[in-house]
Amino acid sequence: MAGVSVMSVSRVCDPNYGGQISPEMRQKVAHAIETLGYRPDYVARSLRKGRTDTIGFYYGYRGLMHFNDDFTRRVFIGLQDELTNLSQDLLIYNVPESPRLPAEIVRDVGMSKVDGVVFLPEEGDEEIAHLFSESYQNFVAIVESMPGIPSITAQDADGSIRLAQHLYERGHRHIMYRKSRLRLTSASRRFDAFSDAARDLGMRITATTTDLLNDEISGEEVQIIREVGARGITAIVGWHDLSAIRAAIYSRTIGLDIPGDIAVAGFDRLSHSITPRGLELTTIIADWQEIARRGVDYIVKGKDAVRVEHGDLVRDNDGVPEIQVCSPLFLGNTT
Amino acid sequence: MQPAIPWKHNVMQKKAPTLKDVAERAGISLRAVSAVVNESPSTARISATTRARILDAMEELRYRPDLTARSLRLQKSDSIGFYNGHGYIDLVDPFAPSFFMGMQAAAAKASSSLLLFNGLHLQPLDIVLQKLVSNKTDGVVIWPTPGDANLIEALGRTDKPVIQFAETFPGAPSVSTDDDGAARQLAEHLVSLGHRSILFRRGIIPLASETARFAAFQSVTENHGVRLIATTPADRFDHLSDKERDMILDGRDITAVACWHDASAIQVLRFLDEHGRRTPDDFAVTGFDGFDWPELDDTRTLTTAAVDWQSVAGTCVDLLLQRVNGGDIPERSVIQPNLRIGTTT
Repeated sequence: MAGVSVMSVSRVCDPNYGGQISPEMRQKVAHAIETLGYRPDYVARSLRKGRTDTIGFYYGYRGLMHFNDDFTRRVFIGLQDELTNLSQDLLIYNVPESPRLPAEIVRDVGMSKVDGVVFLPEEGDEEIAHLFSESYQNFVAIVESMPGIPSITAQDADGSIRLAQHLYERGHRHIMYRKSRLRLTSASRRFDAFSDAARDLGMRITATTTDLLNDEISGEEVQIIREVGARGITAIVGWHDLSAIRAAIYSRTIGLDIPGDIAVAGFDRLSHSITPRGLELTTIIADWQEIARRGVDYIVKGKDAVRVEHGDLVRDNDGVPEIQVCSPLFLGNTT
Repeated sequence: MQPAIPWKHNVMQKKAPTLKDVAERAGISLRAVSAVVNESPSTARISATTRARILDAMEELRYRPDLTARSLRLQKSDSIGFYNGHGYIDLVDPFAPSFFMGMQAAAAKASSSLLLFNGLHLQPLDIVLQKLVSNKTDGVVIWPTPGDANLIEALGRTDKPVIQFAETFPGAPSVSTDDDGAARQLAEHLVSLGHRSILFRRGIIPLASETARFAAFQSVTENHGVRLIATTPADRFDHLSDKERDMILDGRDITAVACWHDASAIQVLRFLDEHGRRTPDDFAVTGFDGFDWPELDDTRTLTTAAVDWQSVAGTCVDLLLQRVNGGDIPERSVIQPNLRIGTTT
């Protein structure tokens, strides 16, 4: 129909041969696609090539990406950057809002023919993560680490130790630590490392948790913050920035000066719209964008070719790699 | 068929379990198991407990359906593609997050996944075309730029279900907002307030939506004998060009700045704030979108056409799926915006 050979048609339809085809030939083939209704069979092609050039992204048990928070935005930007660099498509799994059995979800994901899956777990995703890792050789968790599953995370433990040392050097000896209400490995690693480091340095910790959404200050915490002077508490650490910013806002409303009366520090350096003007939180930089990029790298280039840079930590847990991307201390005006 | 020789038995054990093995393990008919595994329409009649038993048996046996073969058979991918002619989904302003969430929610409701095509905008037309019509997806939502006009025309000649988001280039169905009608209302509003010399900030890309809004302003101002001066910003973030800065600062007789979208109006408000000019006393400012911006609050609200982009995107996905399932869809669907008069005019 197009008056060109089968070989040329097949080449035109394979992006890898892109450079060798003349513009006239392309024109003819495009015309044939339209007039004959020719549809390249990508599924069959990927069976032949052994790859689909598509990466799956699974975002937590509830599935939808909410871009109104800076965290999701940064993860998405990181994914998009690296996928564009490597000419890969991204399949975002949408999970209907009704609760489904993990086995069903993994089965659905399998239908979609991807080269591997980047998984961003939420609380309670352990089971599904294991089903994934059994079904897919090429599977990596980002942000949260899970036993037995390769992961790319921030330096939750080492970053928290850096923060403890910084507060110690600034003379703090009694610290209120706002723990997470979520059961996340990142959150528990941060708290465990911080409290171990604090103990070794001879600092006291008063740990609190709030059951309120979005890390709002609980009644118990109100009590403690009102009495910081009497209790000898001189700093508040939030398990992540949002938690610390809530504490800073409350401290200010009761007339405490930051950092004069109370120092405040967080973890992640995300921007939050509630941050009071002029407040630059001392925190640990968690580069979510870079972490997402490495997740794509891991799937596309393979575990031995993932970029590792100065300051990163690489662990080998019985053959299961864990890469912790460099997470330095950021000095703001709150400590 | 199965010899009772131990080593041979081991070999058999290593073979992938079949649907029949799952049915035997679950103690449920092969037909029911097949219905659940293949998600056939009759699944609705299978109880939740039976379903759970089948899934348990699948897990115990580590049964994995041959999905690639199945997909070949069904010719259905249960994925919706998203092609974006800008090459990049920019998350700096609220536009992309809002339409992206609308698409995701609508796709999730239909149990479809979203496939984002990356880096295609730099490829030659035939490569883009063959990728978009391929069986990687059941249909494609296109967010085009003027550079995609040929692509849309070519896609329109195939039987691949496609739909344009926000734009109305000829050749393929679209879901957009009423760019013309809402822009006319905004222009009439400025004219009725007595503005006789209006600066219109265009976008740097002549999108169909952008062009329609500008044309509406041109037509209204011409009818009323009002002067309309068109400018373009310095970059895609809508920062003011030197020419625009000069024109606004030296006042001339410009009393209103109409912007093709909110992000552009926000840059103008910032600029006016920096230079101590007040709205609406010194300059009236209008936008188009109706997003929440940090620069706005209860005391300062933007006069704009408020568009529910989430629902424009959701409608795109709904109609696309309707088309995938063989239904007819309108060539042009228009979601009406709300004119919102704020404190900037």
